[in-house]
Amino acid sequence: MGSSALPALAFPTRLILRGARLRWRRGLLTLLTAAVAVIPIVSYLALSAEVTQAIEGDLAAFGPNLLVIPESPAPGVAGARLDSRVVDRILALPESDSVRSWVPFLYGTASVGRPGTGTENGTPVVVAGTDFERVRAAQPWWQMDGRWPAVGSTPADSVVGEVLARTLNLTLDSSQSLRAVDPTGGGQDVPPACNCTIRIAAEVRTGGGEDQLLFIPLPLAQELLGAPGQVSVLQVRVASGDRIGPLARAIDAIPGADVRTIEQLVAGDRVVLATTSLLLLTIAGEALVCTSLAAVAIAGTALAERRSEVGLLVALGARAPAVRRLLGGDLLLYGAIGGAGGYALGWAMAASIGAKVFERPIPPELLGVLAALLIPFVLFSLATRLAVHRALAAAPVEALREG
Amino acid sequence: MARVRLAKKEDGLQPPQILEARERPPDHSVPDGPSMSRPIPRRVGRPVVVVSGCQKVYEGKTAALREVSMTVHAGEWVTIVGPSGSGKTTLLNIIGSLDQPSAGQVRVGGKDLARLDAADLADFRSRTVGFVFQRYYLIPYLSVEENVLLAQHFAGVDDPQAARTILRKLGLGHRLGHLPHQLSGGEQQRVCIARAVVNRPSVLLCDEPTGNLDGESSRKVFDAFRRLHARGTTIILVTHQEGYAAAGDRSIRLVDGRITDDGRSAPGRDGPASTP
Ligand SMILES: Nc1ncnc2c1ncn2[C@@H]1O[C@H](COP(=O)(O)OP(=O)(O)OP(=O)(O)O)[C@@H](O)[C@H]1O
Ligand SMILES: [Mg+2]
Repeated sequence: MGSSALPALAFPTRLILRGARLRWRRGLLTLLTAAVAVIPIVSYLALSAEVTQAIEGDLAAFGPNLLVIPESPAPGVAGARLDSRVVDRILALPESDSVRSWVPFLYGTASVGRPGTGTENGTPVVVAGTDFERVRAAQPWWQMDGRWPAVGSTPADSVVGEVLARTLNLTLDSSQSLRAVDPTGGGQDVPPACNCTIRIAAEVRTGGGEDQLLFIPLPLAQELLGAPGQVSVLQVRVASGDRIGPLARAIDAIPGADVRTIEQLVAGDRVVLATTSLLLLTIAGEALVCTSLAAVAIAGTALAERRSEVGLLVALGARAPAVRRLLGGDLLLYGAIGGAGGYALGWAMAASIGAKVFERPIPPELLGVLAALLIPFVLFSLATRLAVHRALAAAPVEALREG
Repeated sequence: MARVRLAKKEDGLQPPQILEARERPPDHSVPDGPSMSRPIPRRVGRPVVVVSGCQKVYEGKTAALREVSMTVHAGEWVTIVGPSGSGKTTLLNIIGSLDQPSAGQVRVGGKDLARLDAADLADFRSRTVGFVFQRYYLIPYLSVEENVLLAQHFAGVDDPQAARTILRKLGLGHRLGHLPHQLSGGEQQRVCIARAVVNRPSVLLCDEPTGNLDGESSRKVFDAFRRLHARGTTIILVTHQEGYAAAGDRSIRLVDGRITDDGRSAPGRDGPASTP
C-alpha cells in the first residue's frame, strides 16, 4: 500500500511525493524546463569566473605586468639600452609607489669555456646580467637546482638555464670564463676582454626562455658587455591591474624609455572570453524567458487538471499558501532535480568550452550551484503562485464541479 | 485569534463530542443503543444559521434561489427537500461558504460570511462547518486515513489517533490504508463523513449523502448522523429521498428556488420507516 511506503515523513510531504510519483510525466517536463533554464547560466558563470581568474592568474604567474624597454630601435637590437639615469627617473615617479617589484636585465652575447683550457672561444651564449636578490623576490617560481648566488662572491656566482647547461655540459660548481663576442659575427666593436670568471651556483628551470640563458651578476655583465650603468629591460610588477595604465603613461613620457604592458599578451584570450560570455549570457537570457513561459504553462495545466483538488482543499479550509505548497510542491521537487541535472550539464558544457577554446580546466563553481538551486525554485514558485491565484479566483464550488 | 473567535459558544455553536457509538453488527434492523433511541428532548439553541433574502442567479439568467430566508438553531437537524433543480445544493453551498449569494445575507455562528476575510473564511471552512458531498471528493492517491488527515491538516491539527478512532467508529477500521477506489460507495461516503466531522464542526452540511447508496449503506450513513446529532451537532441535510426527510427535526421544502414549506411541525426523528 502506498501509504506505508513513506511512514516517517510528515503528512504534507507524503502528499507531495505521492502526487509527484503519480504525475511523473509532467514531472519530466518540469525537470527538463528547469534544466534548460539552468544550463546556460551555470556555463556562463563557470566560464566567466574561472577563465577570467585563469587569465589574471596567467598574468600573475608571468610575474611582471609591465616591461620598460629602450625607446626605439626595437628591443634586442645591440646598442639599444636603458641608461641608469632613466631607470632612476622611473623609480622616482610618484606612480611608482604601485611597483611591487622590479628586476633589471642586461642581455648580451658571450662565449663560455673552461678557464685556461683555450675553450673560451666556444659556443656563443646569451648572457643575462641581473640582480639575483630581486629575481628571488619577484620570480619565486624559478625552480633552482643548487644554491642562490651569493652577492659579491669571487668568482661570481651565476645561474645557468637547464637547457643551456645540458647543451654545454655546464656542471654545478664548475668555474667558467666568459668572453664577449659580436653577435653578428662581423668582428666589429667587441668590448675588451675582461677577467670574467664565474662559478655555476645553480641550474634554473622555468619552462620558458630562461632555460636557454646564462644569468650572471648585473655589474659583471655591464663590465663584460662594456655597458656600464645600462640595462636592456626592466621587468616591473605593478600591485594592481588598475595602476598599470597610469604608471605606463608616466613612464612613456620619460625620454629614452618605452613601455609594454604584458596584459596585451592575453588580450586575445580576453576578446574570445568576452564574446563567448556574451553569447552564453544571451542564450541564458533567452532560455530564462522561454522556460519562464513554459513554467507558467506547466503550472497552469497542472492546476487546471487538479481543479477539483483545489476546490476540495479550499472547501476543507486550505489557504492559498497551503494550496501552493501541496499542489505546487511536486513541481518544485522536479524543478530541483532538473536544476541539479542542469548544473551538471551546464558545468560539463563550460568544461568542454574551457578545454577546447581556452585550454583550461573549469572547476565547479559555487555561484553556479546557487543559481541551479534558486532559478528552478523561483521559476516554479512564481508560476505556481500565478496558477493558484487564478484557480482561487472562482468559488470553490466551481472548482469542485469542474473536477 | 480568528479560529477561537469562530468557535466561541456565545455564537450559538456547540462543538459536538467525539463520535462514541459502537460499531454495529451487520444486522441492526432492530433499533437499539444510544444512536437509535429517540432524542433526549433538547432545549432549542440559539440561531446558528440565519439565511435572509438570499438569491442566486447564475450567469445572469438561471435563478437558482429566488428569495430564501431560513433559520437553523444549534443542535437542530434540518432536512431540505425539493424537486431536482429547485436549488437545494445551491443553498447548502452558500451556507457552507463554497459559493456566494447574488443577494441577501448568510450568517453562520453570528458571522456574516460576506464579511469574512480569506483567513477567517479558511478557518470557518475547516472548523465551523463540515461538508459531506454527494460525490465524496476523496483524493484518489491518498489512503482512507490520509484523506481524513487532510482535513485535520488545514485545521492545524495532527492527530492520526483521533482520525483512526473516528474511522473505526464509522466501521472503516479495516480500511485505513486502502485507497478510495478500493472501497464501496457506502464506505467512501463514510470516509467523507469522517473527514467532515474530524475537526468537530458545529454544523454538518450533507448534500444527498445517500443519493448513490443502497438501503443498507444508507442506513449506516444515517446511523452516523444520528450519533453526531445526539452529541449536539447541527445538521442540515439535503435529500430528495422523502423517506429520509423525516429523519430530522424539521423539513424545509424548496420549489423553484423558493421555500414553500418550512415544516416546523415535522414528525419526530424516527428514521426511515422503509428504504425509499
Ligand atoms: N454553475 C451553474 N451554472 C448555471 N446554472 C446552474 C449552475 N449550478 C446550478 N445551476 C442551476 O441552478 C438550479 C439549481 O441547481 P441545484 O444544483 O441547486 O439544484 P438541486 O436542487 O440541488 O437539484 P438536484 O436535486 O438535482 O441536485 C438548476 O436549475 C441548475 O441548472
Ligand atoms: Mg443537488
